Amino acid sequence: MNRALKSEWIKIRTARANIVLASIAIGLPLLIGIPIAIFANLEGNPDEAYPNTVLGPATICVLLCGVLGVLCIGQEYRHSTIRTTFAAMPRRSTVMLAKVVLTALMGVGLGLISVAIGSVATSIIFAQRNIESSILDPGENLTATIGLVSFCGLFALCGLGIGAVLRQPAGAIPTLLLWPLLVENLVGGVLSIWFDGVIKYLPFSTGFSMAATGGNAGFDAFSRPVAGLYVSAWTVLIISIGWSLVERRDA
Amino acid sequence: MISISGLTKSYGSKVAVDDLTVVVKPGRVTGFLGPNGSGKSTTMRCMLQLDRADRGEVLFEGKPFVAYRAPLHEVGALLDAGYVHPGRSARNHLRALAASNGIGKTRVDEVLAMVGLSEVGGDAVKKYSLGMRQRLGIAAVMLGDPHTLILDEPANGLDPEGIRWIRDFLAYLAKQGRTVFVSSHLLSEMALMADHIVVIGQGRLMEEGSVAEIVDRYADRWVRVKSPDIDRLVSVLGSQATVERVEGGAIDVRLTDAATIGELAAANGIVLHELSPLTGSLEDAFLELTKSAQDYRAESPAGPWTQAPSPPPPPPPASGAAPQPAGTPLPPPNGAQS
Repeated sequence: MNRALKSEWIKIRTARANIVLASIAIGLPLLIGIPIAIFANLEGNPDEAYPNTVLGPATICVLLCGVLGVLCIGQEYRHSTIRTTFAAMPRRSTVMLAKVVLTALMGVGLGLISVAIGSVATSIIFAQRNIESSILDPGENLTATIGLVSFCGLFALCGLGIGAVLRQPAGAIPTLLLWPLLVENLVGGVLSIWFDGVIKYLPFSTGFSMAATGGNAGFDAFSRPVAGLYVSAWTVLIISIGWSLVERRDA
Repeated sequence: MISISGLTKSYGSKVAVDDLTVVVKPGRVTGFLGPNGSGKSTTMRCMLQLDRADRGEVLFEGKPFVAYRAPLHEVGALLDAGYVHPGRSARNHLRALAASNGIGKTRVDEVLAMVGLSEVGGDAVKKYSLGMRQRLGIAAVMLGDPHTLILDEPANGLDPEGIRWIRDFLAYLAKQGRTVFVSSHLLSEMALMADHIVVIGQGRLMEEGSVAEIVDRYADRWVRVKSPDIDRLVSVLGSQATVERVEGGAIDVRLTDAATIGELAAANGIVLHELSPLTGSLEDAFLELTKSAQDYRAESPAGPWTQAPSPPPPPPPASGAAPQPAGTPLPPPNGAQS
């Protein structure tokens, strides 16, 4: 297993697209959050300062973690390197396990780096502006941050699973991004006409609610631990389908 | 040794490999031939369990491929030189493969030097020519110094120097007692490269044997004769043989042998300037052997896509049939003249 992890890690860090995406996942939330921290009128509601400047922009990091998850396996199929990989490691479950571990760690790691840098940068700005808001104040900010970082890892795994099912980044990335951004909004909007509270059963809406504070999810969401478990269950399902197909299909 | 027994693989209703049973022995280069779509690549993918066979078994030294925890030490495979991430450097591509089998970085540099890519090992593979990618694929094959090598069209894209290099390299590996299984559509190359030939068509085993045996069984044989008195020789041969006039005033004689022609000429006082028994090439034998198993056959160059009107028929030759391409002498198997 260590050999598989080492091999997969070399592949991840030596593909330029991965490095570029990881840089954007860290940098873009800062480019959005810092101007808000400097120029927006935050004094009126300081409790919202940290969520609006760090957690909100970091949802971009979540989405890009998903894209990276797709690329971890989709690029292997796109360039047929999956055949080279399986010719070197014929036990496909070992390869998949290594990809799952590294994708989850990569998602969590990028989420952590993104919010850590955002948190430090905004706390300096908030100190200059005498705004009392940070990752620890109010206390819900910390649990929301943990929720966001966890969702980075889970969404990256969802990307890996969808990449394993569709095997082409060109199909998997739009599927992954359009589902939470478009499909769930439409489906949730239509279904909620008849079924009140249905939105919280939509996996990615619930996933994003893990990072919401002060009831800002926009719907009657699960509590954060329950939401985490619910999204984890969906992630396990998606990964299981992808894993099973990778095992059964011709490479 | 590779033992393939009863290997069967279908894609929908199309049977790509049909109950194929072959033993690939060590110590020689075994060539794997077949027309386009005959199932060569599918067989190789099934051997490595990249494609899931419907039935059958493939064993490497008595064990299935999946039983090897670090298979690069036992089986090195080059299925397609394009199976590389174009943005990744050759060195990093090899390092990832090496790491998966516990092979150190120094071996990566060794195999890059072995195939002559040391200086460009840090470049992205997208900058490589097809020949360079082929060399990279061979470097990957040699990473684990394997006992068994499986190569699908390894000479594809190589220049003449590279083709000679791969030929000598595979012969050298076979002499070391390794099992070398190689497919190629370059039949002239295969005739020089392989000690043993396996021919498949429509997924089924059609023939196997040494190059000399295959040519002996399937290729055309004739005798090239030159004489200043060629017309009299033709009349002497009469109905004992078929005669075809070729360039340079020579005739190709079939259905009889050189000794008989020589004796007839001597008995009739006919001077001979050439009396050469000729045999068709491996290509001729291959085409004869697989003519019933061609899934995809092109039209002749004057086929239906040719829009120009047909040229007028040529005037009939002075005598005999139109010239045909000359055959090539049978390459001597193991140094002996056949």
